[in-house]
Amino acid sequence: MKTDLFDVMNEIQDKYYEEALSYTGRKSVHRRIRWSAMAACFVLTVIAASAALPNYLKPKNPVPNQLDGINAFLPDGDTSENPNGDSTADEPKITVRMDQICLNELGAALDAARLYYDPELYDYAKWDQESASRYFGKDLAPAYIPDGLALSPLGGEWITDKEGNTMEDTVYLGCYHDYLEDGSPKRTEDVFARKGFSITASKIGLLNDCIYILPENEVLTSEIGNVSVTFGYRSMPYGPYDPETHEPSGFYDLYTADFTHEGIEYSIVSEQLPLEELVKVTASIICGEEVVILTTDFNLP
Amino acid sequence: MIDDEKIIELFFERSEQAIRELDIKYGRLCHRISHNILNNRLDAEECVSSAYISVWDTIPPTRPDSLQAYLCKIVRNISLKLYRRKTAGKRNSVHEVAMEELKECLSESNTVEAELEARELARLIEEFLDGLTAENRVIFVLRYGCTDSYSDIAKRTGLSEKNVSVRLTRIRRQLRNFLIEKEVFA
Repeated sequence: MKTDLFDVMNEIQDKYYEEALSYTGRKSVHRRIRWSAMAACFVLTVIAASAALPNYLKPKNPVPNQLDGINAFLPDGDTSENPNGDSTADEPKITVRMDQICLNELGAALDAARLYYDPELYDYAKWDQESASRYFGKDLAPAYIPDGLALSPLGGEWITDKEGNTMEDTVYLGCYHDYLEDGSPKRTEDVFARKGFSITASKIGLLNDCIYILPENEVLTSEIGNVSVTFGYRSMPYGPYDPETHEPSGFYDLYTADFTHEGIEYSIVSEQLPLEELVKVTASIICGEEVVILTTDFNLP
Repeated sequence: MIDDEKIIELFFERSEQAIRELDIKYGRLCHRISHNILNNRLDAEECVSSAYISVWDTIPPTRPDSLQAYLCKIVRNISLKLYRRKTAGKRNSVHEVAMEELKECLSESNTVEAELEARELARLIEEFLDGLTAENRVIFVLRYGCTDSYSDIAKRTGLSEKNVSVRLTRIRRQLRNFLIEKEVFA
C-alpha cells in the first residue's frame, strides 16, 4: 500500500509533539538575557548618573505635583513627612503617582510552554523559603499584601544539569483570597475566577507557560524607583457561557506587571484586583516597603 | 491559566468551563495548526470547535498524559480530513507545501514496497527521530506534525528561516536514507 507520511505523523507518540510544542529555543533565552543585561546596564547608568549629579538637580522632599513622571521617592534626612505634609512615622513614606502609570492593552495569551528537561539527565529540586531566600538573596514576598489575601507556599522547581549549572530557576508565589485543599487558588463565588495575584521570579530569565501579548509597535513603561515596569491590562471573560450565544457571564480585570530588579526578573499577574493594588505590590517589591498611592487616574493608550 | 490536570478534571466533572479553559490555553495553537493545513480561517474555526467536541466526547474515559499533544493531534486529524474533502489539488496552504516536501522521501521509488501499516512506519519514524538532535527533532515535528511555516519554526527555535529550510532538507535526506536502510523502499 501507499503510505502517506503525513498520516504516519499522527501515529507517532505524544512525547514528540510535547517536546516540539514546548520547545522555547535559544533565541528567546538569549534575547531575555540580552534585554536583562541592557536593563541592568540602564539601571546602573541611572544609579551612576544620580550619584554623579549635583544634589541641587534633585529637590529634597519633592511634593507630588512637582514629580516628573512616575517616581517612587524616598525623602532625605528628617523626613517623616509624607507628601501631604502629615507627620506620621507609621505611614508609608514612598509615593507613587497613579496618573502617570502607563497601561498596555494585552492581546490574547500566547502559549509558550517551557522546555522539558529529562529527569534522568537533570536534577529537580522543589523550592522552599530557605533555598529561595538563599538563591535570590532576598525574601520574594512583597512588603505590601492587599487586605483579604494570603500567601501560598512557594512553587516551581530548580532544575540543574549534572555539572550543577542552573537550567531553570523559576519560583511562583501566589497570593489569593482563598485556596482549595490541594493548595490551588479558589475561584470566587460571584465571578468564576481567582482573586489575587501571582509573582513569578527568576534570575536567569523567565520562561513562562503563558505570555500575554503586548502591543507590537510601542510598549509603554512606567518608572517606579528607577525601575522600568511594563504594566498590561486585559478584560478577561469568565463562564459559564450562554449555550446559545456563547456569551460569557461577564468580564473581570486582569493586570500584569513585568520588570527586572536587583538581577531578578519579575512577572506579576493580578486578577480581580484594582490596578492600584498591583502598583502597590510592585512598588513594595522594588522599594522594599509599602508605598502611598496618590491618584487613581490612568489612561489606556 | 490553569494546569492541564485541572482542565482534565473539569472534563471529568463534565463542566463546560473545561472547554473554555482549553480554548484559553490552547486555542491559539489549535487555530494555527488548523489554519496552516486549511488556509481558511472559518474552516480552521470549525475544525477547532470539532476538536473541542471530540475532546469533550473522549475525556472521560481517556486521561491523556499530555493534553496539549492529545488536542494537537485531534485538531490535525480533523483538519486533514476536511482538507482532503475540500481541496482538489490546489497548492494553497502551508500543509500542501509541507506535504510535497515530505513526499520527496518516498517519491523516487514511488511506493512503499512492504505492506507497512502506518503504525509500523510510525515506529520507524520514531526510531529516526530518536537519532536526531533535539533541535532537529523539534524542527521536523513542528514542520510535518504541526504543519508550522518556516517563519513560525524560526521564531520558536531562534534560527533563521534559511537555516530552518536547510536543516529540513538535510533531515528529509537523512530520513530517506534511513528508510532505504530499513528496506522500506525497494
